[in-house]
Amino acid sequence: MRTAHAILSTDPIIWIKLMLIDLHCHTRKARAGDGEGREVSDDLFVEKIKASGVEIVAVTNHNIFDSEQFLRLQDKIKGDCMLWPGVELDIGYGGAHDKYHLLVICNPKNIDGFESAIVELTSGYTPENFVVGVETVVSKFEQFDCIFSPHYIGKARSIPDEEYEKLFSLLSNKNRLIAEASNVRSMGIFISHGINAITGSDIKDWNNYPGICVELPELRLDVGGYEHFCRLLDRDPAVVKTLLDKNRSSPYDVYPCHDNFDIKETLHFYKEVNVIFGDKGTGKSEVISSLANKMKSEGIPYVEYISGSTKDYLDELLRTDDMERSARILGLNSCEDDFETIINWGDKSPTPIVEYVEYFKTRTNKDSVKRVGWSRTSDMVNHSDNLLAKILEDLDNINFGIEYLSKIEMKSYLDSEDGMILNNILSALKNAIEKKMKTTKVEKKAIDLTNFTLRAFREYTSAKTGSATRPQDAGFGKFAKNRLALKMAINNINSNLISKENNRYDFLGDIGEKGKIEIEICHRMLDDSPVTKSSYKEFSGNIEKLKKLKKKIRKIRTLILTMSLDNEIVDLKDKLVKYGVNSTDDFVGIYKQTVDKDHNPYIPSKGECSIIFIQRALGNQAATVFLLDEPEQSMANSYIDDIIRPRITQLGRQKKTIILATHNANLAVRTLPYLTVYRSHGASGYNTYIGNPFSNQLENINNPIDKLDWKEVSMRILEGGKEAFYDREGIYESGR
Amino acid sequence: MTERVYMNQDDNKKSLTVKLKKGSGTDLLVFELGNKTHKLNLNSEDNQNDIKSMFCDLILLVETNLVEFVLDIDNSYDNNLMKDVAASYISDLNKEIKSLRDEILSENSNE
Repeated sequence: MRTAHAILSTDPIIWIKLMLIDLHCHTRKARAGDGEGREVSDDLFVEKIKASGVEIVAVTNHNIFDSEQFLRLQDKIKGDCMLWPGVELDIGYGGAHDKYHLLVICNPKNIDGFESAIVELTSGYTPENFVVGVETVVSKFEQFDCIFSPHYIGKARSIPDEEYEKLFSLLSNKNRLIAEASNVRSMGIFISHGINAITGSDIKDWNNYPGICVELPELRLDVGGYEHFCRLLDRDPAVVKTLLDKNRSSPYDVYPCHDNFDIKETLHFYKEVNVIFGDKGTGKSEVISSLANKMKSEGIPYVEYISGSTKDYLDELLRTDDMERSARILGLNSCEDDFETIINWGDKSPTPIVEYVEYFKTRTNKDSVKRVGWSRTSDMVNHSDNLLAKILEDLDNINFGIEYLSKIEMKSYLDSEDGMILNNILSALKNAIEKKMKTTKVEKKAIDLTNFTLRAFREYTSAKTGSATRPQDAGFGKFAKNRLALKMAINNINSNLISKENNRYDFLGDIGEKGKIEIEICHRMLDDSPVTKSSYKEFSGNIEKLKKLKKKIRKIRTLILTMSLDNEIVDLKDKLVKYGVNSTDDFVGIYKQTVDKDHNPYIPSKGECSIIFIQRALGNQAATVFLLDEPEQSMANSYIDDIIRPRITQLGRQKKTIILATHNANLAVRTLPYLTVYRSHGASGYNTYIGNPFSNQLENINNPIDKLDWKEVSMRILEGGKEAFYDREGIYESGR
Repeated sequence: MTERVYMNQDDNKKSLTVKLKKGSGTDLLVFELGNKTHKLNLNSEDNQNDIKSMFCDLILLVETNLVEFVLDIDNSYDNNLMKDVAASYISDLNKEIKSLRDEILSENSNE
């Protein structure tokens, strides 16, 4: 019976969190049964209402209307809350004790007539014993543009079915009947059965206000007054548009045909929930795709979620080829200089002893040579090279340190004086290093110049006297330093090619009972473990070459001070150049894999991938536009309704633009989209209709007289038609 | 013939004898380095590898010791030219060993 009423009833206006409203509020202890807490002072009322954030309150005391109090409160709360006049009446039916409660809420403009009608109606009664029939109530109050809200199933003093039918039939505007549920949950259930419903605080003790207000409903659209509210109940298109347009919309060109960009339509999407639905093959995905291209080209921060691409999303996240391979991540040195040393290395030849023999053979031939002392001198030893290298390294370090420290907001940790001292010390250190560098460079240049001069003199003397030049040295120093430099480079590389790994876990998503899924990112230095298929991928297919190189480097380490070095080092240099290896970074392998909460490898299923990636898309804080293509795919309806739908609604409240192509009724209907785009295909070709659930209309954007019923189209496309919808409902009902 | 003035004190000093002698009609400079003997033919123009081999073993010693070569010439040896050559060569070698050793010590102290 109630179901029948639901069908006959107006379409449900759905209330969700936005504008708090309390259409059942007491301010007077009118009857003995009312608690003392219902009597409220003006100040307490104002304080409590302001604290609660409730923006619409209907004052509905039992069988009385205290206009003086009402006007005082209205004046005091003005600007914070709209106060609407009303009354809660005892309605009699059947026997003497058969009563239910009916709220009558009046247009504030008609307050005088409303007050007079109540006075007249209750004359000769007290609030305690007043009772009246529903016919009288409707005839008395309908003229004042009233809303009628009887207590409904589950609430004390609820209206019987017959009385509900009678009330419904008596009202000339059926949209003014709103059932009052006992709580928000019941309200939701009634609404889902097509019954316009609401709930109010029915406040019994003002000390509990606003604590109870979490149970109050909120309006989806921000109404400006009583008439607005009633037009919304009437689904007046102009009013609905005005209300919707409070939320700014932006025009976007969309291309519903992927192979024909001449077909373009301009749609105005709200910074709210926008839904695109229609039969398969009507270009919904193409619309989403063209919007994504638009966002990308204009640099608008957006996320795109395509349900069929979740495996690709995961593959993308598990890619390693674009990741930096760095030994530093493992706390190791990349040894670039050491590799450079090897690649540029060549042996230094000792001075042939025969040069000494030649010198002594010819020296005695010319007395003049003896007189030239410098012809017998050796080069000065230059120690400055190593020292200079060390100083340059120190200079690099101090510059790096100063730059690094500049990233720290010093004033957050040090007072200005200490900060200045630190800066001065660092500057002083840098200056001292630079000074030392200059001095050392001068010393080095001086020795180089002296040796150059000595050599020139020696050669000059040798040429003049016909005697051989004295060898400068035996060549041991150069030979030894060169080999030791190679030894140091090889040792350094070897000590950094050690088995080491670093694991990091990045949150991927939460899949409910199984808990969180993470991506394990592992960097590891090439070790001696056998080559496997996965390790092959880990080292970009170079693992065998790298292993050979590592072995060769180890081998050379033992050959540096032997005569066998030459061949091996030539081979190593060739291979390093050929393989393009120039640091230990090249020996770092990277792998990524998905793991469960215990860090065991876990490959999420298709459905779990969908959950993970829709979570990630909807959790994106930077995006202002969310493009979602059939997010319901591979997901349980309960998950969609419990998790996805509330999140989409929440994003809409945050003024994000959500554009959602879907076949799911919960997403398309229960998000109460500001804009519904319906794509159809029929004898006249493809058509695009736009509308919304508030006006219950869909209008062809190319033919304004071509209008469709939003509810009927939604039912047909999303629920399989009205018959299927109610058939399912009947089956569910029979199962209760 | 040998220098004994050191700029820095090196605790690991090692004095090694290098002999100049005749052998198979050639003039030889004989180095005893650890358990290896290196004979350099002073008359040959093709002894670079022999010198390198000797240098390799010498490096091993110099890494841990301040090596000083002392030339020892047989009484019967009478080639004055080669005496001069050997003395000069050993002198240069000692200088280079000292220089290298100083660097090694300096680097070790920096580490």
